[in-house]
Amino acid sequence: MLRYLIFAVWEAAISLWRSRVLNLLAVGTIMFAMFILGSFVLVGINLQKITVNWRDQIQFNVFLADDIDQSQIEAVRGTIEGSMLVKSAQFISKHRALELFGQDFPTYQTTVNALEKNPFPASFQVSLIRGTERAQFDELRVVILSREGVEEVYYDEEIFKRLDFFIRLIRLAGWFFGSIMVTSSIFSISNVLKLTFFTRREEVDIMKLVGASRAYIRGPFIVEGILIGLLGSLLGVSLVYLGHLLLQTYVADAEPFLMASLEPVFLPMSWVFILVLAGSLSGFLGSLFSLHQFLEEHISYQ
Amino acid sequence: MIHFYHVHQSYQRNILALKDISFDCLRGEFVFLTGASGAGKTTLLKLIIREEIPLQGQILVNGQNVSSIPVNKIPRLRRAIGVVFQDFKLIRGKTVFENVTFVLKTLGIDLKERRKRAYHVLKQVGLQHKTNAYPLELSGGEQQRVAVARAIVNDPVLLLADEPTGNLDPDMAVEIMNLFSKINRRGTTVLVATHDREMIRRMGKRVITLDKGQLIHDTGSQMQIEET
Repeated sequence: MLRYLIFAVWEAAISLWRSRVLNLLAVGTIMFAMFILGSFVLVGINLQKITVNWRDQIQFNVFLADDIDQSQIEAVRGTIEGSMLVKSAQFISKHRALELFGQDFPTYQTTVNALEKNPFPASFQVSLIRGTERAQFDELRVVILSREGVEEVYYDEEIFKRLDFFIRLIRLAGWFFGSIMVTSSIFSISNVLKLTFFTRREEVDIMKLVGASRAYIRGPFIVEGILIGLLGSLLGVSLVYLGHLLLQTYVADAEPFLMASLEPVFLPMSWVFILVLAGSLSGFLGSLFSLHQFLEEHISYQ
Repeated sequence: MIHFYHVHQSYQRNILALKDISFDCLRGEFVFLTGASGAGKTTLLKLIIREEIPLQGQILVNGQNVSSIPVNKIPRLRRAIGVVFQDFKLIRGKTVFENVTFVLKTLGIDLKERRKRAYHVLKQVGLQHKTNAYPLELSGGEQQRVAVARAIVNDPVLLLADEPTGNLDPDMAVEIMNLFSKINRRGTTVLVATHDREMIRRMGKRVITLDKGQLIHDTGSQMQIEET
């Protein structure tokens, strides 16, 4: 088995070098595909990082009933602070709420002073931990609402909705473009390899006649496809890294207030691995498709 | 070793390349297959290595029915047969050494052993000094000798040769035939397709003559005559 592998890799390497101009085209195609895909993932990951930062700033308010007693307030506080999702919670009494309103809207100060009764409810201002999902928040909301003395759990649902939509859009677009790029690169490799096979059909015919088994004929071609995919994807990922370095330089030179929350990160190793694997797999599938067709048409044993 | 039972072959409707061919070729026999161009010699050799399937009839080679052999068994059948093709069929992108030892390589034989065997067979055909040359750097005769070396490198049980001396000068042709005789004496069955009558006469072996796809004459197995 090891000898067979060495044979296949050696023959594939020779063939790669022999048809280097043609193979460069295939390598270039997969490099471009992986560069586009990698760049998209890179942008997606960095955008997600920004949205996670936004999520971090999301707060909601738990409004309490006017007749709530101290023990009930403590029970609600316990529920809120006991949740794993809560980063911080601040109690705002009815009196403090009135003060804050006066500070925030000084023009209405006289109106507020004229009120016989303080209309503002006591509340907890709660911040969620980074990356909290909508469903998790909903569960927490139900638990808090079940506490005695809680009148309302208020949050700006629109922000959540928009963020969710935005992230879903990024993921969806990633899958969409990713699928298109991978499919097109499989067909590109398949077509380039078909040309390679065609230039070597006489050689394959001779191999067949002197008794080379199908595995020995197919092996080097398959390995050649994988090597093209591997080489192309490695180059593609390297280009993405180059782009990342350029982006870093650009951000470092940019006005701080514009890019304050953006420190570009490179693809995590898992994604580098996925891209290289996807490239190699595209090469494998491309060679398999073209080889199947080629074997049917040119090197049948019939 | 080779048994043909009422074999017919056709490339076009109503035009038979081989008509009702039946003959036996014993293990260790040396047989010449002769006839004019288009008589069916090459077709007969192609049927033996299962490059073609007969229209009708059965062909047994080395105990295997090649008419119905599974596709995955064909490489093994061919590795047991050494073939010298009329057009040499050398891989242009590979050196003489690589061409000669390709089958050995696919069999997983190590480089040292391949070098040893290649040197041995190339010396037999007088080309031991051309191991690193490419086929296109060789003359027609030299290419033919490389093809002979490739055919015998794996010690085949059956050696088929299609016009193996067509591109050789008379001295080299005699040398190649002597080499075939030597291989034959070691027990390899040899079937040579040629229309070189002088060579056939000089060798004094069994001759099967084809004409327009029909077997018109067979001198019979000399081995059987000797046994009788």
